Amino acid sequence: MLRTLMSGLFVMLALLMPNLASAVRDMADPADGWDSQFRIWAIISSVIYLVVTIPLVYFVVKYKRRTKDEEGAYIEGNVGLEILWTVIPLVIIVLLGTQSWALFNNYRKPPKDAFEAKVTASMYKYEMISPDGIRSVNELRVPAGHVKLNLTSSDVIHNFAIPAFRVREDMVPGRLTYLWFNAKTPGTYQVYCAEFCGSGHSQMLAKVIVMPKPDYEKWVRENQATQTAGLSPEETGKKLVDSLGCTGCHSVDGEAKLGPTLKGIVGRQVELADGKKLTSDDEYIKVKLKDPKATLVKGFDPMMQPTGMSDTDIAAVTAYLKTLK
Amino acid sequence: MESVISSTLKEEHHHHEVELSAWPLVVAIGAFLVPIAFMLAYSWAIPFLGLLVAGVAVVTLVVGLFGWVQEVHSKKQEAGLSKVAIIIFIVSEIALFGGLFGGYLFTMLFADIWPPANTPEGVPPIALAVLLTVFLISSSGTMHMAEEKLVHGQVDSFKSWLIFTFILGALFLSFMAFEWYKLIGHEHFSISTNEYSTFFFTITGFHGSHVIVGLVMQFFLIILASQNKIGTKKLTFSKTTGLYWHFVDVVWLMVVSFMYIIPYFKVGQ
Amino acid sequence: MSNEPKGFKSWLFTTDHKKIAIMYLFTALTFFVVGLLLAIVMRTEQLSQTHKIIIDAKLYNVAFTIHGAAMVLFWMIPIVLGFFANYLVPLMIGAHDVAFPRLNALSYWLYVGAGLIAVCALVLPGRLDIGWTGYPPYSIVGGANTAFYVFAVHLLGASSIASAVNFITTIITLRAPGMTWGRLNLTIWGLLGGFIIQLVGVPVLAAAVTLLLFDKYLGTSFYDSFKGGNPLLYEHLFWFYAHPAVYVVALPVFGVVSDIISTFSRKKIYGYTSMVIAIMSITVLGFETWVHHLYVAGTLNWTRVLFMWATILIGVPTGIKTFNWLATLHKGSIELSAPMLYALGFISLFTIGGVTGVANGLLAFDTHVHDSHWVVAHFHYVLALSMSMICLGGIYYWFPKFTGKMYNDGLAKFAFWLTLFGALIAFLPQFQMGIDGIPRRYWKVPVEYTTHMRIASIFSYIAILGFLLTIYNFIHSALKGAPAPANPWGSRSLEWQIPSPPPFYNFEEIPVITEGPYEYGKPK
Ligand code: HEA
Ligand code: HEA
Ligand code: HEC
Ligand code: CUA
Ligand SMILES: [Cu+2]
Repeated sequence: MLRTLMSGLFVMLALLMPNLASAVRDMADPADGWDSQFRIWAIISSVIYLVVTIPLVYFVVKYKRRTKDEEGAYIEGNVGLEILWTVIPLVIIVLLGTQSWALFNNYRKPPKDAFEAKVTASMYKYEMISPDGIRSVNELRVPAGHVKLNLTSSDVIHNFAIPAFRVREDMVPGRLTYLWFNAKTPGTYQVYCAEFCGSGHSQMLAKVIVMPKPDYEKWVRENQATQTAGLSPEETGKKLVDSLGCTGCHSVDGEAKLGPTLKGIVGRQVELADGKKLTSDDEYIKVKLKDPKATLVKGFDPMMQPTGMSDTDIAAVTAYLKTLK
Repeated sequence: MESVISSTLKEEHHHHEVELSAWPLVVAIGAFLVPIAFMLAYSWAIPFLGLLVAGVAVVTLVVGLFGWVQEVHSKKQEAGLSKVAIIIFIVSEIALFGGLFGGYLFTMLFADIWPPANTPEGVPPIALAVLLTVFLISSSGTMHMAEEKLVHGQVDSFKSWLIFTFILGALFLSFMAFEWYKLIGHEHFSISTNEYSTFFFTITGFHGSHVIVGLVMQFFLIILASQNKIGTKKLTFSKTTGLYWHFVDVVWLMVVSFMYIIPYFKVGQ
Repeated sequence: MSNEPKGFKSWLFTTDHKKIAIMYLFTALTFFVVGLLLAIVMRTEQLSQTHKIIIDAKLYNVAFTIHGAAMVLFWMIPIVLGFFANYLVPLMIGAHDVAFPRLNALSYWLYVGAGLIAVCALVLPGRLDIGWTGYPPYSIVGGANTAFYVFAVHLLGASSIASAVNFITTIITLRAPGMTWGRLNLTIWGLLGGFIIQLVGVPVLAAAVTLLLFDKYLGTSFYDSFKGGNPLLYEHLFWFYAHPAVYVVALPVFGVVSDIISTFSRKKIYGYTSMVIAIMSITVLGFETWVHHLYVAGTLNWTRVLFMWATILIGVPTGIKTFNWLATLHKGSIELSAPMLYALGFISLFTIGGVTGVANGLLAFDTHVHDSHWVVAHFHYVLALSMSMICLGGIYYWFPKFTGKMYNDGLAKFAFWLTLFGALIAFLPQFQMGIDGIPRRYWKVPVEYTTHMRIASIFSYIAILGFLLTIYNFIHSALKGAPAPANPWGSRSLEWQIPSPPPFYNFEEIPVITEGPYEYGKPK
């Protein structure tokens, strides 16, 4: 039976070879490469599992104790066999590792022609600046083709994961990381934050919207023109609140989320963490948006970050907040 | 079933004493109170209570350790296992300082200039470092002399050399405290100044705390020597203290090279 | 000889390794139950992916933080290096006690102190919601009282280092005459490996969290990249210990499995020497793999590659052990007792956990599944299903020895199958979710995965039910079981050659050892 065990090990090796060949073919696109790596791993692992469990069950049945005082055969070991089951797993490991290494090199080498954009994470939103200077929050539009994203964070460690493209990379405050993917088909793809970052971690969702190139260019032109021109301060304010991710933490309908609701925020009584009480007014909102840590509201965690808005933007936001009655 | 033991060879009858000891529990309570004190002072902002608990913690620890040492040294025989143990323990201490220095190098090597630009002129105070080094190195020498004396049964000169060692160690600590005082008070170089100061105070502080532990061991040793509980037959505690002290010394040499000498050359400026 | 102390004080002030072991067992089990309760809470919350059922996102984060910490730091490591080590080391090497009995008691009490702080972290304001990994900057800028975390680790660290020094000294110096290195039980070798890892790893963890404390409360900038520090430094220091920590548990467990398999096959362990080499090489290799937790954290590309090789190489020594176990069964005289069931179950489940670990270890593979439910499934297969289950098996195996009573065999086997059935299925859906890229530590996952999560919840309830039966079996048998003979299994190992339970002095006089622990069926 030990011989059977060994032939099992050899079968594993034999299976690995042709699969590796096909893996190299899939390598061009990391997403396909990943799938073939998974396939190979799954086949090998299933065989390993069988090679372990079949003899296990077989031995237990075959060598069941028959008499009370029966003892097993006296065998010390067998150097040849032991070397064999050192070398075969080693070979498997080396083959799997080599394939993964090659694929990894692909993952880390963005094609030269890639569309490039920067994404900054903060609790709990993603903000993208496209090469054309368009800012967008949680809806990241890219043209179809190769895309490289430069990633960073402004508060804690986040992560940018797009399962559809089989990539993820952490976004570390004060450092720049990157990933790239091949956005073959236009469509909408889910983005997750895959590094724990606090209460809003599971709500830190975004979309990557892959558009055909002409559509994307059209969208760029439209947006550059109309970003906030011609809107009333209230409308501009609403646009800002929606696009800056405020609603990730604040509701506008009276329910407390991670932060207090923004409904009726201007003019209401506020109790601060240090016990002070005050009435919310324009100045208070301004301070809150510039330096949130200066006036912490009681009963909430100090997780809000400075927004970096201009005074006109803040005035617009305040105007909008006043409409939330 | 035959036994794997053969009982033919009679050992000298081993007196396994009935061991009940309250001291481990006392020491553990002392150790437990330290974090409580810290949290009272920092997390819950009741510094007064924190200070109080810290006081209780220190007293409990001292009483516990004192009782422990006395109890162990009132036994007739000693097995001498601590010598092996202290070497093993030093391995773990090496890992501790390895971690800290590793972190320091990790930060330093990724920086373009070291120390950072906002480090004051007179930092690191290299002259003081030389003085500190003199204290500590010579104390290693006196410690060695003390051990030699004990091996030859001269408990009295053992004690004198030991007290000498203790004084040198205490001098080291006092001058280190003076250095910190000067840096923080006059140079405005404190633990939160920049990433160099952060590591500077942490690593010298860690080393200083090890000096304190060494001094406590020496202190207990001096007491035991006065009580005549130590002698040619009871060398272990002295050996242990000696080894530990030499280790603390070697670490200091690392501290001097990494925290004083390298930054002294102001790489990249 | 019978001046054995009795009563309340005899526990509080004891320095006897067997009593301390029992105290570790009870304390660790308590934390295990705390961990399980939190698991039940989390699994119940996961029954719905649209509404809050019992806890909100913040409390969910607290729940998995304390669950992970309780399970790894307060259950897994103490049950192995506290309970098993304390009970077995002196008995297996032929000593009256450990080298420093008082230090041993101190280790235990420090562990209790750390546990109290961990409980505070669950109930007092400033609850820990930072994950058991405690990554900065979140653990610094968030609302949690990170001091809980730091000090629990400190006290536990002091306890672990004291134990490590104590037990390594014991194993080196107190082996009975004739107990050569080649005659040690593999359990002792595993424990030795575990303690060496603790000795070298724990101080680095202590340093890592101390710097965290300074950053949070003293305004230093170790981990603050806006002030010249680097948060990745923490991840490096943390995993330098926390990865080898899994082998702290695994190595002794490999030893326990070997002992059980040898005893119930009545056969010499196949390839003893290669087993020892495998254990020791994992002890060393375990320290060169930590970056596999940082594959996508923004570390330099070449470090990732280097650490990938070290990581997957661990599969080789582990494989050696697996195949040696199989070869030990070959031509044995196998009795399918409850501990043996656990040991065989271990081999089967650990292989699944192990090969999924190798998948994580493959750099490109992990680029898609890092911090996804795939990882959750991987470590529950190794930690909850393999490691924890075999601790149970080990307790059954030595139960007659330390209680002097026999357990109920039928109930033991029934509970085994029930727990296995539940736990095995409970974590399967998570592999699927991981392949789909769904991240872990999510209070609510996308609604498409409601069914996956419900299956996981329901089957984990079944597993926990099985576990409760086991606990019942333990308690009932310890109180009412039939008296156990000195050596119910016919084992050759030293601890079975003395009465059950062992007398206060273990051995009336230090024995002289003439044979190794596995010499079954030796031709005369
Ligand atoms: C006891 C616990 C334990 C054990 C034993 C292991 C064992 C292994 N683990 Fe696991 N791991 C954890 C506990 C454990 N792990 C935990 C708790 C985490 C998550 C931490 C967190 O983030 O919270 C984790 C996470 C984790 C990661 C990070 C994933 C991520 O976050 O992205 C990785 C990556 O490499 C990894 C790898 C491995 C490997 C390669 C092994 C190997 O040791 C496995 C070796 C065993 C085998 C391979 C099977 C037997 C061998 C054979 C039958 C021979 C033939 C096999 C081959 C040829 C392949 N583990
Ligand atoms: C030893 C470690 C251990 C064990 C036993 C368990 C057991 C379980 N765990 Fe846990 N878990 C972790 C270690 C462990 N876990 C860690 C480290 C994390 C990560 C935390 C973090 O992210 O920070 C985690 C996270 C984690 C999560 C959070 C996932 C997420 O959202 O990211 C969930 C969710 O449901 C979960 C569920 C469970 C369940 C249902 C069980 C059990 O109920 C499984 C069922 C098994 C049994 C009931 C019995 C097994 C038998 C024994 C254990 C032997 C008993 C021994 C004696 C009696 C002596 N675990
Ligand atoms: C990370 C989550 C988060 C985001 C994003 C966020 N906030 Fe907040 N906010 C909070 C929390 C938590 C509080 C309460 C604690 C505090 O005072 O910091 C708060 C407090 C406030 C307050 C004071 C509320 C009161 O009751 O007095 C205002 C106003 C406010 N936020 C506006 C905004 C605006 C406008 C934005 C978007 C530009 C925004 N916040 C983005 C979390 C957030
Ligand atoms: Cu951002 Cu998780
Ligand atoms: Cu690991």
